[in-house]
Amino acid sequence: MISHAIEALLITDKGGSPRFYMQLDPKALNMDPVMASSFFAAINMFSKEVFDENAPVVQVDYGARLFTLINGVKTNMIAVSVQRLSQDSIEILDSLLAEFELDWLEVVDPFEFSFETSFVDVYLEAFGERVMQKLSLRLLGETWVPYFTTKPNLLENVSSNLMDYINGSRNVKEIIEVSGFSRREVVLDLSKLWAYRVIRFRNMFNFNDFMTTGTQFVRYAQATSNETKDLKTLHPDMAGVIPHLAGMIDGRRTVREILAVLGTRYDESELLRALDYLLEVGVIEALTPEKRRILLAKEALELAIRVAEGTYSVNEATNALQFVMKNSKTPEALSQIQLKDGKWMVNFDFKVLEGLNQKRLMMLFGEWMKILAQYVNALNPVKLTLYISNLTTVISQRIINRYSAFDLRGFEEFAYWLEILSTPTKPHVGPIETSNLQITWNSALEELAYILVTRGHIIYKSESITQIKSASGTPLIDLLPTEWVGRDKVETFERIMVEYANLGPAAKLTLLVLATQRGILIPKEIII
Amino acid sequence: MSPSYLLKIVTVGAASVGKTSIIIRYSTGSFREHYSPTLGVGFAYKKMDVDDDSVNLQIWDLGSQDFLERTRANYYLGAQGVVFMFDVTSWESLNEVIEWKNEVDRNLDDYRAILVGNKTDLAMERVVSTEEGKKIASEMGVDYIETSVRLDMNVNTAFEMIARSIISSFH
Repeated sequence: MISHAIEALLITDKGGSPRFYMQLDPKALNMDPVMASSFFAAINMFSKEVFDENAPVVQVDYGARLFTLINGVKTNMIAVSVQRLSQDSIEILDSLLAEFELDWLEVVDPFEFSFETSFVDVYLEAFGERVMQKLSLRLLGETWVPYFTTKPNLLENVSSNLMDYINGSRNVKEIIEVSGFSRREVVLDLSKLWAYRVIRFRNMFNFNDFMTTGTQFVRYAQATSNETKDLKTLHPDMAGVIPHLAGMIDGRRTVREILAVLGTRYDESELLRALDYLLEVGVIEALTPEKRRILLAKEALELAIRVAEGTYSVNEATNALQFVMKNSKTPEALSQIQLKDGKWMVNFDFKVLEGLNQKRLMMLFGEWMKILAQYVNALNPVKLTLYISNLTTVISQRIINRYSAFDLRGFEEFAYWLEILSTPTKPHVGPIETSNLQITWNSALEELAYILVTRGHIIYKSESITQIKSASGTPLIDLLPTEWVGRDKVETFERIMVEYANLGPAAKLTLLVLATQRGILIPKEIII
Repeated sequence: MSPSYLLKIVTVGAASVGKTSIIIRYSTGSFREHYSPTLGVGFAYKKMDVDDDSVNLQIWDLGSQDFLERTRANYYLGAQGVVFMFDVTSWESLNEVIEWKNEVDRNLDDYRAILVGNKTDLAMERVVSTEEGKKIASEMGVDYIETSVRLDMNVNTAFEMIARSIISSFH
């Protein structure tokens, strides 16, 4: 049983019909397995490379979700996740697919069942339990409260050691304490009950979720609104807590940060209940992946302005921002940059994005990145190196350490831009020595090295990269990593990272972003 | 076998038409749907065979934002091929192609080019017809091809077209 990022699993036969579907993240949006199977079958008709026997594992980044496609002998598996799966996860999926084909596919014929029987039900209970034994629920939080969806005494096919401990108010942590079972045993048992769909959860906030309010939230901040009156009748305690939460749910605070501020005055479970309620009535939301990227870009701009005020002056920082704002024509961005007490600030309220589709949200992320890049470009180049050094430190502490790897998608472009701005030499424009550099990588470290070498060539010219090769004693371009006989590969990659970071503060930022995106541990000397 | 030709190609076009995505698809086979503006320049390469010739295609992905024009100008140097791109769901992106051609002409004297209409998979949102695309390509004096990077349709063919066009200019 491992920690993983998988939200749902789908197995289809080679004809594109769904044979098994299971959701592993209770918070994830339900995917229609029939629709999803048709979608992949259609893609496969256009591109045989999707399920290519020569490339057994293919990853397709599809906006807010990532699909990992595993090509089996008789079936295909599609894992839906929000971030790239680890090699461990892929190996487990591979073994599950093999087990499905060997032990389940032929044994149970879905066509023996009536049309009323969902194809999912045919396999779910038995094979679903196997899935849970190997993968468990995704990120089962200790604060989650399981409750039965059916009366426990009516359950015939499911046995569980936790029957007496699940009462609708105990959370996972408390169940572990009261039952005396290990965390592993409890998670396994809850996963099994979830697989049989006899329990659901409350308190499912991830503590790292960023929370924001919708336009209707204001009704809960009005003493005379019908919503508040209803709440006072139903949950009088909650009606007292919500006004205090109102100021904290500002689009940039995580659940953890909200609890940290209010936790001294209110019981944590009371706060979580109020958040659950507001989520259920649809007046607050956890930021979606695309909105988290926008938040990240806005936070980076706010930091860029504050650091500029410290490195230059408030006047210079303001002039640069006004120059950039003059060139922007995007209302959703311009309206969020506001003058308060003589200083320009970024407004983190997300109501302006309500009702916008995914495509528009992507474009707005691009617009914020553009504003950010132009802003640094508009600052006086004389102090730019110092500015970038200060900014790198702040971004490392406030953004890279705070956001997930998935949130950082695309942010590396800003780091590259800082590298370009802080490199006085003319760029390399001629052919790049690529020789045996791999394009498809065996590991995240190899991919990182490839990106550093190719982008580094362009920004710093070949000489700098040659120096890195010499300093790290790495063949890098001339030999494939698989041919680095007698070398400690991890140590060698670490030397490459250290040497690259030495190119300057912006290079260090690039490295931090790229390494965090790929879950690569960076050498101690680079950590800020 | 060492490549017979080392070709430098640049991709240009309006923001979010799929310039970075087509390069990632072509060089690594994977698809990236999330959009991030390229700030500065990206780079990828791929070895391919064109008839009996072995070609190392080096593709430079130029950021399209207005404020990058001066930065971009550096990277045109030495390019033998240009891939002009637009999005078949956006008239604006097609109209901008002419402006992109003007910029390329200011920076390059002699080059071969193709026009690529991308995102054909978004059939319901499509506004630019194949005929319109061909018409603009004809006015520019270049070949035209439509692609779907998401579905991996015609991506390899597009790069083969530009490589073939450049090599033919050598003979």
